[in-house]
Formats: sequence, structure tokens, C-alpha cells
Amino acid sequence: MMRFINTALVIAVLVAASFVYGLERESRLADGRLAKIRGEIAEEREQIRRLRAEWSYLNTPSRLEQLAVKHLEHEPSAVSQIIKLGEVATRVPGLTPDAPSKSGDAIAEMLDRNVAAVVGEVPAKRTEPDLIGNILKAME
Amino acid sequence: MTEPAQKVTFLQVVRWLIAKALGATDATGLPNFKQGRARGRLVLAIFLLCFFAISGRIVQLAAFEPGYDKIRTSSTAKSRIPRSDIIDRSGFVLATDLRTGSLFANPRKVNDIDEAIELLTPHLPNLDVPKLRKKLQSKKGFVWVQREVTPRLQETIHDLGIAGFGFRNETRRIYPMGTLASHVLGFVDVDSVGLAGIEKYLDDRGRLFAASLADPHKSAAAPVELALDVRVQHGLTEELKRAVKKFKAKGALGIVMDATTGEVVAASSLPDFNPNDPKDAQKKDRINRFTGGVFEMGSVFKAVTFAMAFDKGTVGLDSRFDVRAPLKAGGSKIDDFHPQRRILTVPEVFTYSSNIGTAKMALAVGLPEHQAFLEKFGFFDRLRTEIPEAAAPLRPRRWGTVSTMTASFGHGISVQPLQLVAAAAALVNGGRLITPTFLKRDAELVAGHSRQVLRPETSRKMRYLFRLNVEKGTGRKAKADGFAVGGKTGTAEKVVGGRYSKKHRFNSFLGAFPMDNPRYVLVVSIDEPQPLPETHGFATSGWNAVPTAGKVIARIAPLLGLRPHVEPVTADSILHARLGG
Repeated sequence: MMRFINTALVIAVLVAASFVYGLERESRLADGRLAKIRGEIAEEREQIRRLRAEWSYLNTPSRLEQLAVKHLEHEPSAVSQIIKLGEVATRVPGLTPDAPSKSGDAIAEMLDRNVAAVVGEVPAKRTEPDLIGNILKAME
Repeated sequence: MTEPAQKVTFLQVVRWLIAKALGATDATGLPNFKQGRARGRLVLAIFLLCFFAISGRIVQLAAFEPGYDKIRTSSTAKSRIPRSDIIDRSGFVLATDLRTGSLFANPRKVNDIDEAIELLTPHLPNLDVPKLRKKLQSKKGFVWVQREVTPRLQETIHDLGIAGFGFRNETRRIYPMGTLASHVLGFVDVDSVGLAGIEKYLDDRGRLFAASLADPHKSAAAPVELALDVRVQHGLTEELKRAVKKFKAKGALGIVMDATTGEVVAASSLPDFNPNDPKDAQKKDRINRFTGGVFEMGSVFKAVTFAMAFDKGTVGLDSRFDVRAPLKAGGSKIDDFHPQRRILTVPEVFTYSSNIGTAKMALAVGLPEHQAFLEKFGFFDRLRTEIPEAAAPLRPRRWGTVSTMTASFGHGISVQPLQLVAAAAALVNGGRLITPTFLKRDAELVAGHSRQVLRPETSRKMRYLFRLNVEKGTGRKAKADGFAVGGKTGTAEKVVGGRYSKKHRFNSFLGAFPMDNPRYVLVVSIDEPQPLPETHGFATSGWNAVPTAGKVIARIAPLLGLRPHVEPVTADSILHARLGG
């Protein structure tokens, strides 16, 4: 009887030991993975910080101003370019704003004259600038 | 084991064991063979007890103490709470911590110096090869090869796998926008300790605030949000820089503040410095002029005197003042810069900027009332904002009649320009004095930082005068089409060698826009502008500070989201408009 119990206990101990060893090994591996992932997260966070800083640097207003002056033909809009919604019918681009149309309905006059070209000057087609190339050049 | 079985109860065995343990020599009632077995059982029992204790503890730890896994791995987490990032009101990063690696070598472990140098030079073009060779030949255990290597390059060099080389990580404070808003941001020393500006605030008075941003479960703290807008800041700084260059001035300052919340949207002081490399920051001319210096602001201060006279009711818009003769003040005279030598109405006193008229106005209110009024506006106390550089105002030690006369037009009393801007906000926003802040402020919290110091009616009269002065008076060149600018000009003479100098001026424009419902107040000051041929040899405010302010407003108003007025806002329309707020 005792022998049987002892044998059973020894086997039980062996089984338990191997089970515990397996668990421990697994947890150690998981721990390693965890540390690695934590490190990767920290690395990604650092990368995000770096990219945000770089984005901010690229958005430095003085830099954008230089690029805009170099590559764009836009200018800040003047107050004289803004009209009230109610005046749209009487003041059409292309007609001088100081001389409102005779009949008081500029759009109708335009249609009458059948000239689409009245609507401002169409700028000559520009060659497409190599924007990205220029930005890269400016950064060097 | 095969002895004839003699019944022995478990109780007997235990009793015998206890007796043995207590040292009794004879053990009663237990046969010999049982004694051996009992000892064996004792050992077994002790072992079992230990097993159960240990396994019980394991179960307890695993099942009932959830923090246990964190305790074990805490060594991998960062122990130091990093410095908060600083961002502008729309989220652009103004200051952040970046990790940089520095390449070092252990010369004792470098096997082949030539090979190492040959491998490194294509990646580090700035390397001083002879010097490095000398370093590597030394017997030292540690030499720096290159400081601050970019992460991508670090990886490349790491992959080269040269024995004896390694990287040491350091954290560096980076200001991506360079000189922009340098006086607001301040800077840190090599140990990341804030030495000026918001950076210093985060380390001393604002430490609790900074700590409140830190999340203990994350390794990063939330960023500090400034009230500043980088685009407005740039617009202001750029125009000031042009003015300093054009008028060969010593320096300049500009502040743009939200008149309804007290948030400083832009604050600039020239000359500035680059916080990434703050070696210039401690130079004397680089002081922060908007809070770190006090100035006799000159005629722009008259606005405060007018508001006082209106608020006390001693003067109305239709009152008149005789400015035919200069005023005697102690040993000297007070005279006007543009003498009219006639009787002026109150709006005329404002638009001609008459010192005589303003001084008479202050005298009519009375000395104690004048002092009390200035004190109520905070002109006698040091204004404390988040920026640690805060200069205390200077005022006459004994307040006499002369003090009141000179203080009425901004001489003999020196204040921080930001103080004056806060006061100007109260003059135009309906009479609420709001403590300025450099941090983003919740609109709901404004009430807690403001108090009513003027009657709304007074504020309306001041709006009228400000607008009138830009329409017809000395502030004409500050006009920015569509944005209904109003303001007061000032040309203060600086004290040089103990007396006021006619050649050293501190010129200002104090204004607000749009005047029908002021949203922003600003001050632009130019320190010692020089006369130019194109200004016909004049160097008064109307020729430099005022047009600069006009350019600033034309530039920043659209950025601030203000819609231009298609129809002009006249001073009269402001006076007769129904009181809005």
C-alpha cells in the first residue's frame, strides 16, 4: 500500500515539476516578448515625437512663407475684392467695380453680349512646377 | 513491516511525538517499530506543510494580487517623468524632448583602427580623421567619436558591427521652430532645467500644473498648450524685424492679446535668440521686453487718463480744455508736441495728443483719485503671469502734483507693456480688467480672472476716441482696410544720463480691432528708431510704430479669423451704436 502511494507521489511530483517548469518557461518567454514589445512601443513613441517635431519644423511659418513666395502666385486678398452677397448681381468680376452696369443687372448684360471672356483674364497656362523637387532643393 | 499488528491510534502517535519533542525520556505506550515510523511521518508532515504553504502563496499571488506582474517588469519602464511638450493653440510643437545618440569608442577593444575609420568615414563626413586616429590609439577606455547622431545613422553604424564602438543615449530639448516665440518659451540648461520663460514656469511655480498633465500610467506627459498662435506670432515678429531694420532701431516689442479672454496670442521682443542654442539669451539686449522690462510708455498712457476722467464723470466728450499756455510743473514746463494754442474739445485733446489738456484732465480728477485709479488697474504692482521674467513698475516715491501731471501722459511712471495691454483691453471690452495669460484659457474661466473696473459707457467713449484717432488723428497710418483699427500713439523720450533726451525715443502704438466690437488689443513699440529721408527727418511714433502696427494688423487679422468689414466703421457709428457688451 505504502509503496503504491509512494510511487504515485513520486510520479505526481515529476508531473507537477514538469508542468511548473513548462509554465515558468512559458512565462519567461512571454516576459521576453513583453519587454521586446514595450521596447518597440517606446521606439515608436520616440519616432512619433520625432516626426511631430519634424512636422512642426516643416511648418515653421518663415519657411512656409519662403516657399509660398517662391512657388505661388497668390497674394493676400484685399478688402476691395470682397463684396456683399446682395451686390453679386450688379458687380461682376471683369467689369470695373466702380462703374456698375447700366441696366443694374450685370449678369443679364453679359448674357446679352454673349461673351464669356468678360469674366476676368484667363492666366496663360503655366508649366507645371516640380514642387517636390524644389522643396527638396530648398531643404538641402 | 510484517510485525504482528498492534493497534496504535493516531492520537497515541501524536502524544508520543509531543512528549519526545518536550524532552521526556521514556515514551509511553508506543512500540519501537512504531517510533521509527512516527519520525518518518513527522518529516513527511513538515515537508507537506512547506509544500502547501508555498503553493498557497503562489495561488494567492497569481490570483489575488493583480499588480504583481507590474512589480516584476517595472525595471523596463522609464523611471523619469519626461518634460512636457509645449504646443501652440492649434497644436504645433514648439518644444519637445528628443533622444539623440552619441557615438563613443573603447580604444582598448578596437581591433583594427584603419578598418574602423574606413568603415565610418562614408557615414560621418564631418569626422576629423587624424584626430580620431589619435584618440583610438590612446590607452583610454572611453572616447567620444561624434555627438548627436541621427537615429537612422545610428542604425546604419550599428549594423556595420565594428567592435569597440557603441552609442550612449541622451535626451535633448528641441525647439523645432527656432527663434519663433523664444522669449515666451524660454530655454533649458544641459540638464533640462528650465532657465527662462514657460520652461522655467514648468519647473517652479507651474510644477503642480505640469504634474497634473502627467499621466502616471503612461510614460509621456500631456503637452502644455499655449495661448500663442504661431502664424500670428510669425506675422508680428516679421513686421517688427522689418521695422527694426528699416528704422535702425535698438529693439522692438509687440503683444497681441485677446480682449475678451486675456490670452496672449502673440508676444515678440527683438532682438531675440534661438532657444536651441541659447548662448545669446543672457545678453543684456536680449531681455524680454514685454514683461521683463518696464518703460515710460508715453502718450499711449493718456488713454488711461481719459478713461479715468470719463469714469469719474469729471469730463464729458463735449468738455473743453484751454491749451494756449504751457503748464508749469515744478522747475520745468509741460508743453505740447503739436501746439494748437487754442481751446480744444476732449476728442481734439486726444487726437492732437495734447499733454497740457491731459494733465489738466488728471488734475481735475484729483491726486488721490488718480493714484487710486492707477492702483485699481494694477499699475502699482508687479504683474505676475506664467512668464517668470516680470519687472516691477517704477513710480514716483512721493506722489505730488507734478507726478499726476506727468503720469497723465505716461512719464514718470514705468510699467510692463503687457500691463498696458491688459488695461487697454479693459478700456475697449466694456470695462473688464482681465489678468493676461500665456496659457490657453477656457472661456468659462475668464470671469474668475477678471473684474469690472470701468462703466460700460466709459468703454464706449474710449472706443470712439480710439477709432477717431485712427480716422483723423495721429494714428492715421495704422489703418488696415476693413478691420476698423483704433488706437493711440505715443512718442516717449527716454532718460539718458538722468535727463530726457530728444534723440532717444521709445515709440508706441496701442490699439484694438475691430473697433465696433473689439476682439484683440495690441501694442507695438520701437526702441530708438532713427529718422529717415522718407520720413522727412521725423522719428516720432506716427512715422514708425504706427505704420508698423498697421502692417501687423493687416497681416494678422485674417489669420485671427476676423471677417473684414465691407463698409467702413466710423467713429460716430461706434458712439451711437447700441451698447453691445
